Amino acid sequence: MRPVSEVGGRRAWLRWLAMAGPIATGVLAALPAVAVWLDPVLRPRRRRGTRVVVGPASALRDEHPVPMTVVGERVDAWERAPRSTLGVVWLQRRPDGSILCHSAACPHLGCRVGYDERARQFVCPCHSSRFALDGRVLSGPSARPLDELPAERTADGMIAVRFARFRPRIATREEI
Amino acid sequence: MSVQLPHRGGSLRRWFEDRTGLGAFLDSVASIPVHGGAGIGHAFAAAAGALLLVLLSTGVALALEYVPAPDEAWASVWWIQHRVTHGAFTRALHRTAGEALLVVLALHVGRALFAGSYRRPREVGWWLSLGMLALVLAALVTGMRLPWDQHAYWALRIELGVAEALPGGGLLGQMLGGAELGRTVLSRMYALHAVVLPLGLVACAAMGVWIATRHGRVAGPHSDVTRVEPYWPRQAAVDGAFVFVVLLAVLLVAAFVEVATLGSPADPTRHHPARPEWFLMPLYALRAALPESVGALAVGIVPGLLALWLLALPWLDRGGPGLRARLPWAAPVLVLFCAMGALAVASVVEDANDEEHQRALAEERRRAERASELAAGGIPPDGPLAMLARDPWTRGRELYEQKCNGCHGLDGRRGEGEIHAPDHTGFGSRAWLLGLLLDPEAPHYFGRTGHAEQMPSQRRLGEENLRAVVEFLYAQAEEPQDPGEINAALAARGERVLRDRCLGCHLFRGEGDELGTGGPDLGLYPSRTWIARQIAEPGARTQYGALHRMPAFGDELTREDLEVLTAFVRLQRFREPRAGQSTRDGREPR
Ligand code: FES
Repeated sequence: MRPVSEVGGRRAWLRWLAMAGPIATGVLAALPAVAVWLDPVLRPRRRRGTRVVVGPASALRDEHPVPMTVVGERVDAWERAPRSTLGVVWLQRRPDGSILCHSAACPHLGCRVGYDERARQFVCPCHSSRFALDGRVLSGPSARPLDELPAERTADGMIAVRFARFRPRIATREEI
Repeated sequence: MSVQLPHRGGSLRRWFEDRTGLGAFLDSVASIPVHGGAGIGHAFAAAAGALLLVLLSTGVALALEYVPAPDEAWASVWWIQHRVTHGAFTRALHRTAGEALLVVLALHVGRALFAGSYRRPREVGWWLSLGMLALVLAALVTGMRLPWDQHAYWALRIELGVAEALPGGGLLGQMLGGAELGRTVLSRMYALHAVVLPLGLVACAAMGVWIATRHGRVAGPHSDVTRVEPYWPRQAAVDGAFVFVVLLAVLLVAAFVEVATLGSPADPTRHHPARPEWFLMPLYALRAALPESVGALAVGIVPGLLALWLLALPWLDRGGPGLRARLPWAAPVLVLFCAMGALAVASVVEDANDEEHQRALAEERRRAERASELAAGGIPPDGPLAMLARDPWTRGRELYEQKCNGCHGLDGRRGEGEIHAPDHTGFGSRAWLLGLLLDPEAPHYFGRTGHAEQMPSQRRLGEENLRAVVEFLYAQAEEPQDPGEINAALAARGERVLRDRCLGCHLFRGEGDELGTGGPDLGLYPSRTWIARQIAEPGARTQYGALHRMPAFGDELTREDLEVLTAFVRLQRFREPRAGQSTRDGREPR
């Protein structure tokens, strides 16, 4: 028998036909799998901050941050949880009475930032980024200050925050 | 060169051989030429194969019980760890075998590096080993995220953040489910860990065996290269013995070292001092040692370059034979390896000396233990986090520390609140109540509250009467599930005494306060109802009315939080104040 490569004409056709099976198998095996793997990339994401009432204004302290939990609707695949925890914010009252609100998600890689009472600084437990009360970076790897969120007092004495998440690690704020 | 396995013959065997050719294949394995003679250096591959089999079998066993969904994941791992027959051991074995596989493969690759067995014609075998190393790393990382405890959650969050900074990493992260860590990411992690990566590993291993039958095994750097002997029997014996030793070591570690623990359930709002596992520690340390702008990239570039270097080695190293010629190619890898290891060790030591870090870890351990204790009573359908949120000793204590501990003392701790409120250590217990009646102006009762001198000592009632009043008050806060007993006769007498002697200043179920002093209503004191009202509305007439100095927390607390905080305060009655723990002078002993 001559090697396959040396034959032309009808033999070449047979060769193509023989290949059809494996090719079809490969395509059929790969396509749906690839589609499903890529689904989270292709699925449009909602990226709008939500306005959430986090607690009473009476709990605020002057230039002393208090943490409040942001409870709102969370959609996770098929699950829609109306009252679930979205994150934590640090709130303080400025001397002029206005509210200063920082997201507790570290701008470095998203760990939950805590408050060091003695040093009067925010500090991240993961790579020890430290932030001043106004959010400035004092030390550590964070590329930008703590993310400030708009907060206001509502008519009935509560605090409403526009909660959003931002891309970690980069120096600019990019909502995700 | 062909070796006959010692046991041949028998018609059944011939029948089988005739139809499968398996014997011939085993023969070809038995006659794989081992260059340089039998030795332990050749046995790493066999150990890797054995560990892989153990991993597959324990992995399937764990898959029988594990559920890859955010709330169920923690619960099912708890179940495996504490209820499934030998579940904890199986899990420990799975983890230890995984880590051992990483070590054995690293040794295998290291040996090949110095033996030069990446050279023609063994390139493909070399790449297979490297591929397996990468797959095992990926399997370890994905596997350790599956329990969905605090460690898993925060480590994953950081890893995705790091990946985002690297080229292609953003897409990978999104494919895994992206910024929001939830159902998608966990089930994908699971699919990778339990299906994709094991398939890859098995394929690589099979291919590796196939290639070895063609090229044989190459000698170590110092062996006598001219000596070649077949795999059977001496190398087979070395392999067998080595596999036995490795498995024994794995077994002992799994059985006697706490390798696979379970932290507290993942909580996106609770901070956690996340550190990677030991095999990723070098990268963590590298990032920490460099300035951020360089460090973030270095985490990708250093392992990337190392991988490229190793992959390209068959083309790079064209030198002559002998270890000397290979050294320039192998030595940098060893140096890098040692340097990274040293960085990692330094970083671990630093953490060990970091008090803040250790405190956070201890806190997390305490929470994990409590979660496990609660889980033993059954995990509710809304998950382990909801379970903890209803636990007085967890959520209640946390709220107490946030809202009350500033002014009130507890267990020898008190914050810097301006008002000195009564100490809650043992609050509501018989001893506490008796102490209050005897000396209300003591510093740990009302001595420093500004209510001093409003209530005199009740010593005048006499010991029997005092004990009766205490019993009555104690009984008021009693609940059906409480342990211990109430002396009903004594309590009844206590009620009479109280009605007789206390209503001058106190209300009792709305009546009394004949002198208009404004003392609180003793009707339900110190029951759950009374405590809840005190927290929510201390200025109510049933509480301290106009006398109160405590802020009202009614608006600040959700109903659930108020309930759980109240429960925590009430539970203090079962904890007798221990010596040295009460804050008698109202100051915090640091
Ligand atoms: S995540 Fe906060 S410093 Fe790294």
